[in-house]
Amino acid sequence: MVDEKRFTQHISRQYNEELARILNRVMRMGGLVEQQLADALLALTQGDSVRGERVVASDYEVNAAEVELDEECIYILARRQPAASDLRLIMAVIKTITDLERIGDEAERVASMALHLLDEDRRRSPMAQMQALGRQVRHMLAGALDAFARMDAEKAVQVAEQDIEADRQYEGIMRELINAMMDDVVAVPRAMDIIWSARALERIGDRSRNICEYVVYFVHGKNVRHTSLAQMAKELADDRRK
Amino acid sequence: MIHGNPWPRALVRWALSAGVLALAGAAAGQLVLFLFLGTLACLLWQLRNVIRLENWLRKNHGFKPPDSRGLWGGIFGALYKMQRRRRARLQRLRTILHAFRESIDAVPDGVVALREPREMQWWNDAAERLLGIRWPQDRGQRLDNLYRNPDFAEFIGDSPDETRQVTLPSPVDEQIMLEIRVVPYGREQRLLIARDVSRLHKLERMRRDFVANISHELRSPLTVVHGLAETLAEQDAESATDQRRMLGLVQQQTRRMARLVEDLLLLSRLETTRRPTTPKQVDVPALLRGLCDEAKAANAEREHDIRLEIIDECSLRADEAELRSAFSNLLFNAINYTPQKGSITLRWWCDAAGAHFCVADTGIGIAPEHIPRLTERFYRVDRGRSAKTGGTGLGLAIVKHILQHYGARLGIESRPGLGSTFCCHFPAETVCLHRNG
Repeated sequence: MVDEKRFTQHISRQYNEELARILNRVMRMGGLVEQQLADALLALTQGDSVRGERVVASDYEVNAAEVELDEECIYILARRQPAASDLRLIMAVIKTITDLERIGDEAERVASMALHLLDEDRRRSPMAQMQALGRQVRHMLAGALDAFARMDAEKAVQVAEQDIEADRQYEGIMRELINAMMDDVVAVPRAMDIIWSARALERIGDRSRNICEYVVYFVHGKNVRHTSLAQMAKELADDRRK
Repeated sequence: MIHGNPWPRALVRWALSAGVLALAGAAAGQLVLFLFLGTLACLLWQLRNVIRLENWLRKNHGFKPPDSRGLWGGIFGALYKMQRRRRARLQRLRTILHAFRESIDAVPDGVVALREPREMQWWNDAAERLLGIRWPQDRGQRLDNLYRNPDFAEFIGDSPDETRQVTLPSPVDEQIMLEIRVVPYGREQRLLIARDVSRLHKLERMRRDFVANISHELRSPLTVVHGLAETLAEQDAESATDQRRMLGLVQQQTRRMARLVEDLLLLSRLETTRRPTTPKQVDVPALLRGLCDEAKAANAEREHDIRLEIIDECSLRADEAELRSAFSNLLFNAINYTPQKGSITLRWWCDAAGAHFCVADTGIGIAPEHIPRLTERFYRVDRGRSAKTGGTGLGLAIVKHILQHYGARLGIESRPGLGSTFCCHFPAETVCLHRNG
C-alpha cells in the first residue's frame, strides 16, 4: 500500500497508486536522461565513441517516454479531475517531462558532436573545463530529480542556485574559445563545435533549474517561474514563517 | 495476576451499614427515610468513583489511576498494576528492537527492507551511506525514484529476479561499485542487499587490462621474429638441413605463440564487451556446411568420417564471426582428440527450448573428474598430448564466453576411450525460424 502521507488522502486507493506510478515513471525517464548525459560527456571528454553512438541511438527512448507520460497525465486529468495539490503535481509532471525531453535532445547533440571530433582537436580543446561544466550540470539534474522525488522545496532552491556557477563556467569556456578563434582562424570550426556543446550543457543547467521551480510550485503552490533566485528563497522563507 | 477478591468484604460492609441504618431508622421512627438516605449516599459514592475513572481514561491524566478505598480501591489498584506491566513490556520490546537495530547497523553491507517490490520500510546505516537514502524522510519512498540508474530500474522491475545479482555504480559516488541482490522473506517482503565490491571490481579491471596490454605488446615482437625466421629460411634454401630444421622450429613456435596471443586478445575482448555486436540473422545450416567442408579438406590425412546432420533449417540472431569461432573451436577439438579413422557427427536442431548444436566424436574421451574444469583457461587433461596438437588451451574458454553472450549453455558428456559430445544450447529468444532472404 502506498504511503498515504505523500499524497492527499483519497477514497480510492487506486488513485493513490496511479499518482505514485506517474511519479515513478517520471523518475525513470529522469534516470534515462541522466544516463544519456553521463554517456555523452564521456564521449566528449574521453572520445568513447561506443557510448556516443549509444546516446544517439537511444534518444528515441526518451521521446517515447515523454509521449507515454503525457498521455498518462491527460488520462488522470480527464478521469480523476484532480484538485489542489494533486492538480499541481500533474502540472509539475507535465512540465518536467518536457524539460527532460529537451535535456535528452541536448545530450544527443553533445554526443553527435563528440563523434565528429577528431582526437587531435580534442587534445587542443578545453576538455578539463568541459568536464567540470558537465559535472556541474549532472549534479544539478540529479539534485533536481531528487528534490522532485522527495518533494523537497528547500533542496530545489539550493540546486537552482547552482545555475549561477554553471553559467560562470560556461562563460569561462566561451572566453577561452573566442580567444583561440581570434588567435588562429584555422581553429574556428573546431571551436564552434565545442561552443555548441558548451551551450548545450549550459542549457541543460537551465532546464534543471526549471525543474526545481516546478518542485517549488508543486510543494508550496507558489509560481516562482521567472523570479530571481533571491526572490525564490525569500518566498520560501516567508512561507515557513507563516 | 490475581488480586484478592474484594466482594466478600464489600458485601459484609454493606450489610453492616444497612443493619446500622435500619436500627437507627427504626429507633427514630423513620426507617424508610434512613434507608433511603443510606442508599443515596452509597450511590453518590459509586458515582464519584465512576466520574474519576471516566476522567482518568478519557483525559489520560498521568500514569497512575486515582486512589480510593474498598471496592473501587481494588479496581483502581488493579488498573495501576496493569499499567506497570504494560510499561515493562514496552521497555523490553524497545530494548530488543534497539539491540536488533544495532546489529543490523553493524552489517557492512547495505540492507533495505522493501515492501511490495520497491517501497522502502527500513534500512541500516550502510544502506544510507551506499545508496544515499535518508531516514526518516525517505520512508515509504520507492527506491527507484532515488536510485535512477536505468539498469537498476530494469533489475528491480515489478518483480525483481531473486536469482540474479547486478553490479552497478552507487548513486552517491560513481567510483563505488555495488553488487545488488534481492532476497524474499516473510509475506511479500523483500530484502535488498548492496555490497561494496569496488576493490574487487578494480582488481578485475586491472587484470583484464593487464592481459590485453601484454597481448598487444607481444604481437609486434612475435611478428618480427616470425618474419625474420621466414626470411632466413627462404634465403638458405640450399644450406645445411640442420639450420633449416631449426628455423622451421622457430617458425612453428612463433606461430604457436602468435595464436596464443590472438586467443588471449579475443578472450579479453569477449570479457569486456557487455553486449554482442549488432546481432543479425545468421544462416547456421550454411555456416555449418561451410565449416564441415573446410574441416574435411584440412584434415584429410586423419581419415575421419565427418558427418553433418541438419535436422531443422532454423537460424540464430547473433554475430556470425562469434558463432563461427565457437563452432569451429569445438570441431577443431573433436578432430584433434579423435584418433585415425574415427567418426565425428555434427548435429543441429531447434525445438521449444531453443536451438542446439552438438559435436559428437569417437575420440579418446575425458575422465569425469576433468569435466567441471574443462572450460578453464589453459586447463589441460594431458599436457604432453596437448602440446603436440598445437592447441592454445583457450578454445573452450572462448566458446564458453561466446555462449554466455547469448545466454546459451555448454553441455559436456564423455566416456573415456569411447568419445565425447559437446553441445551448445541456445535459448529460444535467439532463434529465428523463418529464413528471410
